[in-house]
Amino acid sequence: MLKTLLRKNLQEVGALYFRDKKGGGKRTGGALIGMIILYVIIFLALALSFGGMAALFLSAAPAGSEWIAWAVMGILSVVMASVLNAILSYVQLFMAHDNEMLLSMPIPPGTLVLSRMVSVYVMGLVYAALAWLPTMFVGFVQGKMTALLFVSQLLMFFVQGLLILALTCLFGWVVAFFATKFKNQKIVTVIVCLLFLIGIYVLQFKTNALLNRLSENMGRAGEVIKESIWPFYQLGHAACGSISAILLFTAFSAAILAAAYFLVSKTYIKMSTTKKSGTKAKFKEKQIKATSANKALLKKEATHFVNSVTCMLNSGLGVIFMVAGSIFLFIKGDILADRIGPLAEAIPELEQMLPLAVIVIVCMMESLGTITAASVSLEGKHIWMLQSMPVDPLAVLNAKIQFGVYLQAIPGTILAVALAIALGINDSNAVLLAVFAAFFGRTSATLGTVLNLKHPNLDWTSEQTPVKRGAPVAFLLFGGWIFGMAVAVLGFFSRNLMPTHIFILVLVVVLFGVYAYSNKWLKTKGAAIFRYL
Amino acid sequence: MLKIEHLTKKFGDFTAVDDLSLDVEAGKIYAFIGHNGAGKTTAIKCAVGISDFDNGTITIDGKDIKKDALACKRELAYIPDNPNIYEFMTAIQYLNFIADIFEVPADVRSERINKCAEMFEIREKLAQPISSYSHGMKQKLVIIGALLHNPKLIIMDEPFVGLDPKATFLLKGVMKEMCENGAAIFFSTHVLDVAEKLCDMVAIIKQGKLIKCGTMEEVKGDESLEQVFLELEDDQNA
Repeated sequence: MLKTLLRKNLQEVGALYFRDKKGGGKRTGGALIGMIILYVIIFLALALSFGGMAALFLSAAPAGSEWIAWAVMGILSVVMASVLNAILSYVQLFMAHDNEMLLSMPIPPGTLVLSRMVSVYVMGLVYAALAWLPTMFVGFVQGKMTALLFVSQLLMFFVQGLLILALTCLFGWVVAFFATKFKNQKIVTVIVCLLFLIGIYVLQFKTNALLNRLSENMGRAGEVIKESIWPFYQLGHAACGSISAILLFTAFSAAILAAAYFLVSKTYIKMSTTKKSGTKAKFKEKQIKATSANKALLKKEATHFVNSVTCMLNSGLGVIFMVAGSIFLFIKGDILADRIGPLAEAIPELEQMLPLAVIVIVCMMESLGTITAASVSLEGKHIWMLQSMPVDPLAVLNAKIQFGVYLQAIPGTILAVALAIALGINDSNAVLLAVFAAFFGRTSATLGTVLNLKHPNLDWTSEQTPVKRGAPVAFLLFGGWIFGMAVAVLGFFSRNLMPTHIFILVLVVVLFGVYAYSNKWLKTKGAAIFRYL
Repeated sequence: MLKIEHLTKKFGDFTAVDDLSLDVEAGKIYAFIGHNGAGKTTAIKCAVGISDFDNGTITIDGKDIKKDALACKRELAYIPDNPNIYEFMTAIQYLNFIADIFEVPADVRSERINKCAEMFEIREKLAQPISSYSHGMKQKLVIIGALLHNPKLIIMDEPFVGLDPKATFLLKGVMKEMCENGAAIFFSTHVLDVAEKLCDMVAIIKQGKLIKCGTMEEVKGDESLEQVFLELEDDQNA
């Protein structure tokens, strides 16, 4: 039974990555290789930053106390993977479209839960790998690797996946529990998830500050870990080859996981099938209003977005961060200015570097709102509606892009202005940064639509599939981050070749070129593709 | 109103629809019958412009579906075999959306929504999310949405599936009324009794090829449509 369910999950994943959505056949070798290269680049780019951290901690750890560095990297790995995997667990476990169909079959709920948990476990491992595997690599490079250590560390990688799975399943269960208790499930779900994510981000923010201090005093860090977070004390020792620590950490993770599994499986049917939303709303005549076709399409995109927990949590976070950040900067921007002031005296090139920092922040934040990269796939089985209606496919695509602009370009532009004011960036650069932010958002939204048209997936059972696992989303999200960082590096090294405002202007021109090309492609080819998807 | 000439649609080496020609006149109800996988849905999807085809032409009210897709779509309404509609909307949001796309004036849409929703007994539930609707209710909603812009041509794929007896009766009444007002209706069905009683014209398709078509009397003669259909199936298999 479990094997059959796992095979079904694998087929879904296989179809997502290896099947050509249009023809139904296998993807061409070129497309497959391109996709693999893309994922490898994204993985390497992110793993690089964690590798840097690992190198810092492994070097700073006193001789014989390397376990502290492993414990710290273990904390980072578990926290990050839990955050990134949290929403997936809720949607995957409780909101899959085929839940009711599978529950109507003679499948024990526990088996169904287990099959779903395997998917969540694999995704957790993928996220944990970003921090843990680079640490192993750094250990190897620093000559701190033996066969025993390699086996222990690899084993701990898979065991910490169990702990991540347990934590994310418990989180998913809490969200589902609150959702079944209140009438408006979607809003409750989003609020609970947001509170959780905000909590985790605050924790991570504090952890980062703490880690900087810890790298200066690893001995003290070890004491704190030993006294306050015992499991990670064991994890650190386990990674250094202690058999007893391996057993203790494994037992701890397995116990937490068993408790999570018991809780989820015992309440699964109720949690995944209870629907309370909107059962008593009564129709009133005033709800009939007319609007233009273009506005109706845009409104449809917005309605979908605000009614989808998956979309809101995956693409709405960036908007919240940008809006909240902008408000904070407009009100308390002087705090930032006070901190930057002394640095400006110590670093003469700071004036040139600040616009680059704004570019990095804007690119990273705007890239979080990559809804257009999933917007075509999200049409799913109801794509026939837009295709059979008297509406130009280009108008449909433009509505998707326009909504993407609302999520990315507009808050991004406001954030750029807020940052420029708070950092005291001169007027011409501030204006150019605002233009850059607006163009980056529009280009990103347009490019997302193009990518999704080229790699659509209309046969999903959970919105999570196109929104979180789709290659276009990954490309746009991480591509945006990498672009921001690459631009900053390029800007730093070319600072003596051209003034900052010229550099930003060049970037705007480049973005405009990409946007114009993407737009032309949508008009000539994209609309035709959408018509017969 | 709907003219299909030499329509051929292939999926790789498989020919789903093979040289199909049909002419659906205004004021007529046309049944399209055939076994599962005969090519009915594929032909219908080509006719409504959501599936490309390899050969042939399809015109709606004299306009080519490939060359002037939007003009064709303004004249038609399509009801698919499965009411997969936007579950993130409420029913009234959905109907308003359809009416906006077809540019139905507010007063006209208001009157039609009220009339149709009352008739299909879902008016009270229009403010509820579609996700809370049953299959049959969704089907009713799709039918109401299809009637909002008063189409000249209605193309339906298995429209009676999921409808309760009263809604089935009502839909048949709506179809007759639309035809009396000059619209054309083309629909696929497996319910041969309904087709026999309701339709003026019938086409039988097998493995993508048209094997018989004409007025109901021409096709069935003194026999029932069911007998004719089964005999034709047997003849083709022999």
